Amino acid sequence: MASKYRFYILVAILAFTGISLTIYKNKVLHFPLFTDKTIPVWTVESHISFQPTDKDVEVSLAIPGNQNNLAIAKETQISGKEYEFTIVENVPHREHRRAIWKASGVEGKQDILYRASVYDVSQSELEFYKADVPDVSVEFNEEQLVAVNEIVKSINVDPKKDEVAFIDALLDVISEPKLQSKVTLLLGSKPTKTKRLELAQLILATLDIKSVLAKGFELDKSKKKQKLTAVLCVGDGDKWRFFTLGSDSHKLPPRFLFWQRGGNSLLDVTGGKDVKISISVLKENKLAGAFAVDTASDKKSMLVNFSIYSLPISQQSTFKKLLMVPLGALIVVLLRNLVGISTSGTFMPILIAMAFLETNVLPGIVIFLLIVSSGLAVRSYLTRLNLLLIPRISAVLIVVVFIMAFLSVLSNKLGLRQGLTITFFPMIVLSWTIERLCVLWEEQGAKEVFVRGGGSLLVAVVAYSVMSNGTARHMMFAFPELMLTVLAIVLLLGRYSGYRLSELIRFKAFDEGGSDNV
Amino acid sequence: MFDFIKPSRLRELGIVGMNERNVRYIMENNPRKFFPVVDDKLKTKIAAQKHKIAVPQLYSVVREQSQVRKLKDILAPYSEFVIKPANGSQGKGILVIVGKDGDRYVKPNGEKLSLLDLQRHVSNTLSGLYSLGGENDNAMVEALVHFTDAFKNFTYQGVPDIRLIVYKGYPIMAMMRLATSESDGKANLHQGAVGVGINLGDGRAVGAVMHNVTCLAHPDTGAKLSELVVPHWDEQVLLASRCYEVTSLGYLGADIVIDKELGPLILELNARPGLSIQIANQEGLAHRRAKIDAHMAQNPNETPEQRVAFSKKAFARG
Repeated sequence: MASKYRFYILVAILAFTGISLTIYKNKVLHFPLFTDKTIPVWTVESHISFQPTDKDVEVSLAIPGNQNNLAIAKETQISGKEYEFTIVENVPHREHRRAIWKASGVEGKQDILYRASVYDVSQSELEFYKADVPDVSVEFNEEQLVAVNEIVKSINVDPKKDEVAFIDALLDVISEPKLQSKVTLLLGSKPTKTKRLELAQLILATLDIKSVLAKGFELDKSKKKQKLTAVLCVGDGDKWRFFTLGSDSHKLPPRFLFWQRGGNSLLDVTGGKDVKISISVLKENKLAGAFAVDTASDKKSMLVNFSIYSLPISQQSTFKKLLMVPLGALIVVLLRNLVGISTSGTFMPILIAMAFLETNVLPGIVIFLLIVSSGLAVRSYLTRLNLLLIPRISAVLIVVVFIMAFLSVLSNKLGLRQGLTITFFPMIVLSWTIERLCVLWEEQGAKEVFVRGGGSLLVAVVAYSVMSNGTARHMMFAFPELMLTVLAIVLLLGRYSGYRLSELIRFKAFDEGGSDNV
Repeated sequence: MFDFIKPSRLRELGIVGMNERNVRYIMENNPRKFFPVVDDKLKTKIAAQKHKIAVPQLYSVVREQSQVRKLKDILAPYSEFVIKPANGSQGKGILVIVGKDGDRYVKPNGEKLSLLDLQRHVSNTLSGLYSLGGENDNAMVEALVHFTDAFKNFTYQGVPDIRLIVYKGYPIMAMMRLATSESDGKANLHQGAVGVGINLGDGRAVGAVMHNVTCLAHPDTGAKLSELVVPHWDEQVLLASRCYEVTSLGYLGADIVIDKELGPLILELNARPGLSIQIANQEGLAHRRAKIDAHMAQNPNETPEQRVAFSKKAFARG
């Protein structure tokens, strides 16, 4: 009894492991569950160039981090080998990240590339918004302070009552093309948009309204040369409003990637001149499964490191087929032990089904029937030659190869391209099948040959229809741990002692007279 | 298209299906290590002789291909014989020769075979064509059984044999297999022989099937199958029951033939007896098994005679 429980526990563990790993990979590592859909992935790249003026050079670049609808993965950088590269995350204000390159003794024009992949994530994913907003140190002199007060007074909105309206009005004042004198005092005559928003941030700080100045761009409007738009983010950690000059929406455009959030500058280069920076975006569609592996391998997940995606592409396609074999085996078990179809050779139908995957099912059946029937014809002649078993099978094998070559050439001449896929049929298994069927024919007659041969073909077609199913293929490939679940099912079926469907017909005779004799 | 019987009805009747036979009967009662004794008919014969169980006489064994050329000499002393693969299954590869016509050997259906045909057959046997795993095999040449006249009207050529299934040493069910023209003189239900259910109590027929369908008369001779009575019945049941001691198999099929002079002989033993016996008897095995299990719980370690006495009493019909 104990061993029986142990068996069911084993089965349960196997099934549970397979299913839970699958769910984990789907929910946490974002392996797509049913189909390997393509997802858009943006490669963002910033190119920095400068002339070193000093012995020691330090480049500090603000770089994007994860945000509520977009995530960053696969960060790479290209720079001279003299450079030492680090990424600084400004904890606890995680939203501000900087890439820092340090080198000494570099000469000539320097080029540094920073590259990262950006992809969509669901809103619930990241909670960066909850980050504390850093205080901004206000450094107005007295004269400037008077001007600030005047600006605030000139706005007829109480910032305590209606913050949004106040900020809108403030931005209007600051963004006027012809600036008021008190604003010019603070900004100079031809300020940039960033400078104007910086001023707005400082004025708000005097009123105890916290804000973060960020810069970014819309991914969907990707251009070769990307211009950063400054955005003033005002909020308390739970809810944010976004203010840009020349827009009243208070919301971000879709897929707006913050390149820089907080911090004083986009790029600082110490010990260099003629500094130039350009940012570009390239949109691509990638297979979600493969991209999940790419992004997750950064996380050093065991599941990913040992997944089949980590194999070279050529091996992957081999495995795509191999991983369908367990499903084929499951079908064979189901059809033989539950339905009771008799086949010739236990797993021959799986091999035939795998050949069907290459040839498609109808041409496959035609080729199979052609090979087996012509093989049977030749084999029945060999019967008369009194050959030993191994030479006889070998002779059948040679004949099978010959038939395959002949059918291939013939169909090619006839312009049927399907004929060329004939090579995918397992010749050795076919030879044995022919041998067995022929012996069966001699001993038990043609009827049994059709029953077994037809049974094999039927099982092969059913196995094919499962093995060729796109969803099944994707699931077995992306989640090979499902094999454990298949194994659990097969183990369970191994203990099945109920009736087979065919036996309900076989024992039909009991239906009429049976009751009298019991 | 098909007419099905309800699984619940089958269970009620105690009919055992293939899966149940494999899991509950064979795997639970027949440890793998005991299989070779029954799968290899040569070993069966030796083990049976050791236990003084009557079997057809073994003339010779062909073990190597080099002996195939000497087949003529080997067969020379015998005018009638049976060539069998030692590891055959389901009656595959059994060749019966009932006489000689000059250089040619005559099969029961009158077909004549040359020495070359026989050599090919033996050669195939040795290379494992008829053995379970396709492995090399031995070919046995043994005495042809002169079957009793009791079944003269009930068989078409061949040897009608009695199949007794012995569960843990207790005869549990019996049937008779009658060769037909369709089965080529072979007593194999797969090949179209008639299966007749036999009353364990007295050896009388209780019903018959051919190709899983009830039949009343032999298709070739027209004899009424209900009139069939197996002679030497007590002796046979005991013979089968004693095979449990020979093989240690808890689910065992014993194939018995009756020779005119020698009486009942064990022809072969089977570790995976089929389920058609239930159709022939119009009864399932499961209820009888339960009776035996219950009886054994009360009376462990019974002698073959006691076991036979129980089975004959418990499973007698009519």
